[in-house]
Amino acid sequence: MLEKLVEIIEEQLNVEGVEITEKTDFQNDLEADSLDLFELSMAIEEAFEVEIPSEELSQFTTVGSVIEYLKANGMELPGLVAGSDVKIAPIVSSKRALQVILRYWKKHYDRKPDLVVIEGPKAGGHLGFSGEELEKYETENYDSVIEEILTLTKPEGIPVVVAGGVYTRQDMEHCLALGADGVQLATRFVTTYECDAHPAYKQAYIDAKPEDIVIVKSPVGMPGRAIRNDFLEQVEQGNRFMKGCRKCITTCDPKTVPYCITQALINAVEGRVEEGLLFCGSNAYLATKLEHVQEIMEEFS
Amino acid sequence: MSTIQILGTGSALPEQIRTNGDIEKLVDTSDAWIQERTGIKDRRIADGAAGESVASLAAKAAARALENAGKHPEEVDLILVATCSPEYLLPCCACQVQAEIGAKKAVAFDLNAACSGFLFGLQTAYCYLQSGIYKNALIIGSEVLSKLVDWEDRGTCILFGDGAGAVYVETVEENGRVWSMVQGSNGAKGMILSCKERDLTTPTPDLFIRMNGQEVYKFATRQVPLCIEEALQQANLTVENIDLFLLHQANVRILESIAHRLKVSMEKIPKNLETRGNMSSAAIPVLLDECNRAGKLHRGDTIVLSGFGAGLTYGACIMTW
Ligand SMILES: CC(C)(COP(=O)(O)OP(=O)(O)OC[C@H]1O[C@@H](n2cnc3c(N)ncnc32)[C@H](O)[C@@H]1OP(=O)(O)O)[C@@H](O)C(=O)NCCC(=O)NCCS
Ligand SMILES: Cc1cc2nc3c(=O)[nH]c(=O)nc-3n(C[C@H](O)[C@H](O)[C@H](O)COP(=O)(O)O)c2cc1C
Repeated sequence: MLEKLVEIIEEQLNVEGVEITEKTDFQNDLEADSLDLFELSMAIEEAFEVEIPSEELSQFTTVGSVIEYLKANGMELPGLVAGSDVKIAPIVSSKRALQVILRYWKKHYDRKPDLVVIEGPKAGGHLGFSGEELEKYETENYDSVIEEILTLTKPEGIPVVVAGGVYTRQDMEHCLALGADGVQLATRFVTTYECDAHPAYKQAYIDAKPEDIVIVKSPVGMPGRAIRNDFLEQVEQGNRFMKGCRKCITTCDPKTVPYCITQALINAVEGRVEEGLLFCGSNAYLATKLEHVQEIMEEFS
Repeated sequence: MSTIQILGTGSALPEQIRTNGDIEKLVDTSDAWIQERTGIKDRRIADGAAGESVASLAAKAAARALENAGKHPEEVDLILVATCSPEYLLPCCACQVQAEIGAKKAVAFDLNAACSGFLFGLQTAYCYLQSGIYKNALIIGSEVLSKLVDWEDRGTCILFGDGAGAVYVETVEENGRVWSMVQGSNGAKGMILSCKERDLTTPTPDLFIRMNGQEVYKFATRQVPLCIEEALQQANLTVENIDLFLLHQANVRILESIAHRLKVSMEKIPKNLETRGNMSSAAIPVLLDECNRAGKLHRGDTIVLSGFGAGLTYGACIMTW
């Protein structure tokens, strides 16, 4: 991948005779300004058939960071599992995203996904939508997107699992009727006795009202859904909670982000709910009590 | 075969010059930053007290185009004004121009396709002329964007300028003349470059131009080469056949990117934005007039006009000069 990138960089930034390595810094070593970087990202989009939201451009400081970004986006997933029998299943939220993956994997690896997870706008945790899209799907139905994605997977015989907002048996039956092969649930299982999160975390779900469930901008750049609490309010007011960096993800800039996402999630799971980020799906408010996993499985089978 | 030909061009600019240095006093920016990212050094700004307006600049440019073509206002059949910043919603600016220049028999109306407005006007005139309804037309792009710009928003206020340009066109019967036109709109992305009017639901609306610069940049640099290539294909031509590319003057970096993508030398892409800024619908006709008067256009040349703007709208036109 480095080779191809170097080619694009040389052509786009008009550099010649400079050795470009993963460490090469666009601004300092190649004197690229913000528009040069933007042009570069456009050329990368075209060459690698990916989409790079402009908010994520600030992550592109060095050549290595671009490589990391492309890897993190799953484009090189088949390469990572080549020679093993590990199955690969991209999670997508739009037809376009899957189209890009299918085309890229076919061209570069002659491989297709073993399974596709369609994650809709009601899911928990990080979401593959922009804030605007999330608003749009509050009023519009996501079913049509699922149907569109199925037009890509059906002819290829790729099984599809739908995730996001599936809470009851009825929700599952709706997805299967659309043509899905299975469903993925997360939020419903949080409020089970068996779930290993701290009881206080589960209680936050049970106490949550619909208006407490909000969209936040996560430090890694994507939007996410969580339960409003004291922590989120403090972040909103501009308070910073950065204590040491775990170097977990390159798309995060520890110098500017308001808090460490890993620390905030650990706080929540370990029960320090007022200092934690309480990720949840949009249906979290439906929980009224703890249940057993077995009861849920019986409802769904 | 009948087609249309530009017989005269004209332009009119406000007197007042606003330099990057002047803007440094309004927002946190620098001459170096603006020049590096946009190529703009200064722009003209209309002075209302001195009678400079969208209508008066348009009328002046129109009169100059008629004079350049050697035509009399009373001969004009059709007046189209492309603008998104008129002083009056009623009457339309084209009717004000009609009255001002005394084009008594003309039919006059405005159209708004933002920065693509002049091109869309040209195509509209082409259709009227080609069908035989009218024999000639004045197409004018005129803007006073300085009143729509938020002079506290450094992301936009550095870009725009005021001015007006006009062309006079006539039907010609002559074989071998090129005319091809591609137009397009993408309303789904409209809100990346917007400016609100008063309405019923917003008591205190934000009435300034709002823009996502990078999205516009991406749209322009991708869409313009595509539609130029489509127009070339329609005309059975390649970029080598083109003598001059008169492109919407928004940002010199956009022009360079388009040149790169089309593999065309910047020498074939004249620019005036250093001293004009982005004049929206007036950009292309003012550039045309300046090239015409500087002797850069020769009868028989094949030229491309292409623009893009809010809407989103875009277009490309190839014609024999
Ligand atoms: C407007 C435009 C020049 C901005 O360039 P850009 O590289 O995208 O700039 P960004 O918005 O990414 O800003 C880069 C940095 O410069 C800063 N900046 C923005 N405007 C600035 C200005 N006028 N002066 C100084 N700094 C400025 C930003 O705050 C940002 O700083 P940060 O990195 O510290 O946050 C460019 O996007 C553009 O030309 N877009 C097309 C617009 C257009 O043609 N519109 C009309 C169409 S008809
Ligand atoms: C608390 C929580 C944490 C999550 N973390 C991840 C994660 O780390 N990686 C991931 O791919 N999806 C994650 N998800 C998304 C789920 O895998 C699932 O697709 C989605 O939430 C399903 O929607 P539902 O919660 O409405 O059932 C998380 C969801 C929740 C509720």
